[in-house]
Amino acid sequence: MSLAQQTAPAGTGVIVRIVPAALWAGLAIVTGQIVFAAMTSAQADWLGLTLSALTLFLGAVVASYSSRYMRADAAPGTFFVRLAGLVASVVLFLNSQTLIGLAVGWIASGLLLAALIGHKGGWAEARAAQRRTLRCFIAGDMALLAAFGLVYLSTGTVKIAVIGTAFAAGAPATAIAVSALLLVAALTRCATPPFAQWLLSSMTAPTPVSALMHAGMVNAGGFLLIRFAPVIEAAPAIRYAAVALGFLAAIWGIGIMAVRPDIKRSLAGSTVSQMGFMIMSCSLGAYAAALWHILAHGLFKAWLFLNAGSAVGMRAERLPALEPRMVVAVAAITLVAGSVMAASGTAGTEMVPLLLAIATGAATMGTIVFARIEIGSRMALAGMLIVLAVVHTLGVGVAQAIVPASGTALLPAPYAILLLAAFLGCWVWQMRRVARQESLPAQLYVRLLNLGNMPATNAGDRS
Amino acid sequence: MNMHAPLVATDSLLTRTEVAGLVALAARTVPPLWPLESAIAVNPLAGFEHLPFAQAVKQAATLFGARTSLPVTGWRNLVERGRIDERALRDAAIGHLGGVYGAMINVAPGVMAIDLLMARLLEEERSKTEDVASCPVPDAAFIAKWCAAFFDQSISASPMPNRALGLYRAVLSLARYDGEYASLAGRQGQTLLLTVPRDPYEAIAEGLAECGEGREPLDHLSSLVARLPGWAGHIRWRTEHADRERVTSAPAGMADLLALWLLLERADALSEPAGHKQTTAAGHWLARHFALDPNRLDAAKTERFNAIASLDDGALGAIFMTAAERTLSNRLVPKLTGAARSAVRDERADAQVVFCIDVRSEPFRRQLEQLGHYETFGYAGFFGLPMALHPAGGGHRKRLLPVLLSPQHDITEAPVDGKTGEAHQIAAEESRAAKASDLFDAAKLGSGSAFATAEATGPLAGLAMLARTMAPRLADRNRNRREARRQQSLEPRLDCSVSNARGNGFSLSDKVGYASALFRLTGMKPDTARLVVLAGHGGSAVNNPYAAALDCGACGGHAGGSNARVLAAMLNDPDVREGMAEQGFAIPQDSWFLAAQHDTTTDAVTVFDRDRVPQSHRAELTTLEANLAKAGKANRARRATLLDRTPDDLLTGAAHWGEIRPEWGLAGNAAFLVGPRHWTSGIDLEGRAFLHSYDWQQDPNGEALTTILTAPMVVAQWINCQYLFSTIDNDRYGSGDKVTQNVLGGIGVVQGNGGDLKVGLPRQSLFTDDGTAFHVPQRLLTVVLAPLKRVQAVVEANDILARFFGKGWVQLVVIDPQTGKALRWREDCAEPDEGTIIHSITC
Repeated sequence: MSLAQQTAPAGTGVIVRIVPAALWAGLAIVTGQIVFAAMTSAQADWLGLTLSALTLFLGAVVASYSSRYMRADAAPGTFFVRLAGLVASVVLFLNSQTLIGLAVGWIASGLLLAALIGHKGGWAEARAAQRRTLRCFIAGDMALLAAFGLVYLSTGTVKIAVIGTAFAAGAPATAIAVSALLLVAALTRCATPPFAQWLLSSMTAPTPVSALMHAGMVNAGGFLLIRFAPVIEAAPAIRYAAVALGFLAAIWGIGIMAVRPDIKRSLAGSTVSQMGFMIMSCSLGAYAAALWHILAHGLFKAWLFLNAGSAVGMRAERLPALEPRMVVAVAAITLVAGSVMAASGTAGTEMVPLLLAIATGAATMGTIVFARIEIGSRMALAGMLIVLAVVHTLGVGVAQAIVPASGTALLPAPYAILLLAAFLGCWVWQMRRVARQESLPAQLYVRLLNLGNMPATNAGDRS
Repeated sequence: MNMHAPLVATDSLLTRTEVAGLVALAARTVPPLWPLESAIAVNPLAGFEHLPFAQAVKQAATLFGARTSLPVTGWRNLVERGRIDERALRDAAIGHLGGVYGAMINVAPGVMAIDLLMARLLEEERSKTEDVASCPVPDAAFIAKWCAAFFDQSISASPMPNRALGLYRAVLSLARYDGEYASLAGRQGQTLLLTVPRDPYEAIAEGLAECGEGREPLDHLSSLVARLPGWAGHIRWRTEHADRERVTSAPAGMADLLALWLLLERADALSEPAGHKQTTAAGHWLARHFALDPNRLDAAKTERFNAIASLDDGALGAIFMTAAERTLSNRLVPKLTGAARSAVRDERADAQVVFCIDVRSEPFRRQLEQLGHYETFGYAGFFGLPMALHPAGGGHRKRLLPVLLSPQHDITEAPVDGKTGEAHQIAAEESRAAKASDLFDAAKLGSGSAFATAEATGPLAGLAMLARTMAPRLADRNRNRREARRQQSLEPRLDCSVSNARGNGFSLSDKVGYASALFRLTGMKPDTARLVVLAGHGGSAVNNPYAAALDCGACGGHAGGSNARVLAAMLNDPDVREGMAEQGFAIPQDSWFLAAQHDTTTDAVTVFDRDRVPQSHRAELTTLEANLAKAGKANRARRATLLDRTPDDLLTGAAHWGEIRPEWGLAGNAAFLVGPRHWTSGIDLEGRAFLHSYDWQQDPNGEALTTILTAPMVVAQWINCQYLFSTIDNDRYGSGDKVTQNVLGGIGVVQGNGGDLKVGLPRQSLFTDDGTAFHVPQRLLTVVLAPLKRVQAVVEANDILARFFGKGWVQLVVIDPQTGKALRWREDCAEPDEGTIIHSITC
């Protein structure tokens, strides 16, 4: 009675082994390029290189993970080829110096991602999710192509590097049209409402695909906005719209995360929120903050997704919250500090992300200090928090070295303070509710819970 | 389903009590579904066990919209691979045709009935059926969505509003805002929201009166329960098996679920129950294949031809399954009859090791036995201790016992003497880690803090990913060390159990009772070896929702080390030994009992409380430990071939967060053998048999046998049926592909975006990478080495056994120790053989 199983066809086995190796090799090459460029201070496309390194790192981790995770898949060969194609097309558009290369990579990555969402092709729900994603991406791709067409018509060049200068002097109407189209393209990839549904119903994708999608793919929108910052800066109206949409997505996504009972869609809500914040930062002109957010959030979210199998344990105590009184105090102080900065004229484009980061650190530190645990433990946790703060500061520093220090400020100081106050106000409201175990208002709750649900599929859909 | 007096709906409504009775009966359509963190194998068809097996499978398939068998192509794969004997298949086919005469009869010139049937079994063209997940229909999706939101324990930060009202009323209060309800139930649905009774029982009564025309109310309710078997099972777990404090925040019973279903039914929003398309048009193929013209056959032949041509997949599958069962019994039973009169080696063993009856113990035991004069035993892995453990540092109590029982003793985990300092340090570390994770969770949720949290922890997450992917064993080492330190400094303490709130620790007579039960049930002789190891077991898998399914089922889906430690402590207690001696179990002064835990994923064995071992026994312990390691290595190598990986890779997989199949678990389980080890020790059982030690000579009145067959064997049957049904329909009775599963914290998994809570086992636990079934779906074969009369008396005295064996859920073979003759229990529906209930299978 031979129980030993037979191995998969040889070709598939080779692909399964080659793809992770190739991605690690790609990461090594890009890292080498970065090190070389840094040491020789040579001219380099830092934005493209850094994001390529992130994408290749996530791709390589996901591929290595998948070589175990996807071992029993019905079509591992297809899976790994698509995965490699996805990473390659993203790297292509990140590094492309022309509109053509960018568009090709952009569109290809969308098609491949949609195909991976529908990887379980026999499953109607997966096919529906794939179609939904495709529809959204095609809309975004159309917008992107239209924007590029307009750019070419008005500047006569496809070289991205010279487009910016051309636009600074160009007609504002064209700038507005191009910026609006680019924003639509970015929002479809960032899953920012009204384009969030595809991401919220993409749980039919195998876990590693979700990890790559939430960590690597959704960033494409942010990349686009930074790449074409000079164009968009010529259209303040579009920037205002983007700030508003980004802010709403940031809060809305938190709401989705808060009501979801399942781990994966809860993480998807978080992605909607984080990408909204990133779009908002970008549009405020805080490019360095946005870039650091892209890099760090990518790592953060990939880790949470790949670790999603660990969520089975049941928590014994009630849900944790930051000490609400601490949050109130910190919010108030932050607001005052912001106002002082604004009044003294030291508030830059990065004020909102920066002050929120400081507030987060302060509220967490406050909670640690007053936590009912041993003094030694409190010291240890405080130490950990300080390490995190240092890492964060260094990260923002690195990002500042990569992108042009910061763009032109968009919001007048009082409006920036209002924006800050909106975040802090929501936070205080939310933490008090969590601490008191209160639910959201019924109507809002139902609305948030239903987001991303698939339209009804037909009965008996099964072979 | 019509097992009780029919209650007929009349014009007047049923009373609340009547409805409650009906609901309780309808609930039995599905078995309870345990949360995955303490996964328990159950038979998804437990509600049908009063029926003969074949009939139950058919009825359940109709009700649940499931398959009745593995697809024929799947069975053929097993035949090709030699997992099913072709000869056994032929025998089974002959049996199906009513014996040799019926099989040899000509259907056409030169074509016998058996030829037709074998052609259908092995050659008929079949499209390869892909096992795909089903999609929830809108009505089921609506209810499943609200169940998930209502029962969620840990993932959502903002609980469902009005949860305290109970599931039904909470959903009523929210449905008017739900666009999905509006499109599902229409205007009528909105009216109903205002008019339906708020009490679920009254709502059910009204619903039955309105929609139940001409239907048996019980059947009606049962079919509604069966629409979402996962959530219904979860409700059964909550109401029947959960500790109160875990479920009070979300009170719900089966009535809530049924009231919701009836709400939809009254709004005319129910979809047609899903069915399985059965295509059976084999007549043309058969005629072509044998070049015969069915129209020219005479009436009798046409009838025979049609009978074979119209067999559906369920009927063909039943033949394959019988063949699989015969393949095993043909190989196993002759060996067992041959060994029936084997004699026990009389000199004292170097050491004795008591393992769990789990099928994964058997190959390990075989390896160990070859390394020295070691005697091994099989005993239920909770070591007979109905206890719950309260872990140090708080948290829910763990019920370390089979779910058939309820905890009689609450034990506290406390520092080992002399290690208070270390224990304190561990407690501090644990509370610090818990606080850090709480802070992280709170910070990543806040609208002011979520963004900076992601930015600050991202780089660390990157490092963690790198380590866990490229150097998983290194990354896992810290966790292992911490776990080892925890095991060394904390232990389940017998003496502090009395002081706990429940005040139900072990009294001396309890201890004596549990300690002697080991000897009573296993037939272990009281003249024990100098070292006796009680080895519990657990799996080690990281980032795996099904990790608990690899742990010990007898310990309620937990690792069994704690139970082993408690029983070992009892057996080393001089007072207990004195008490045992009075009962006739005088243990030698120089015997020392040790607890251990077998890691079934890595095959490492951890010995607990080593430093308490007397100096005089240290050298022997060292030898034993070396041999345990050797046996583990050999067993790992054996398992590696089954997993198609290298032995070293199994160690990596046990630590790797991406490993989808760390081990095969209990896949392959097929037999339950009750008898002394020397009877089975010469046979390679390939890790497919549960082994319970038993000595009929020490059990004159059959008490031990009764216990073994009504408790451990029942658990084995649950496991066997879980594997069986999860394999034949992995979408309905199993949990589908692991890679698209989505975890609901503290509860279980759903597929993709939502839908019913999944029951059973994932595809990866049952099928190899190329899609062939690794677990051959077949019913449990129980073989008992004991005099026929005694077995018969035990079976007839216990309804559950008479049902299992009589209705064909478990096959029983009794081997007479004196004659060595094997007899098979006859199923109720089989032809009586000379008026006896047992018929011989040796001739």
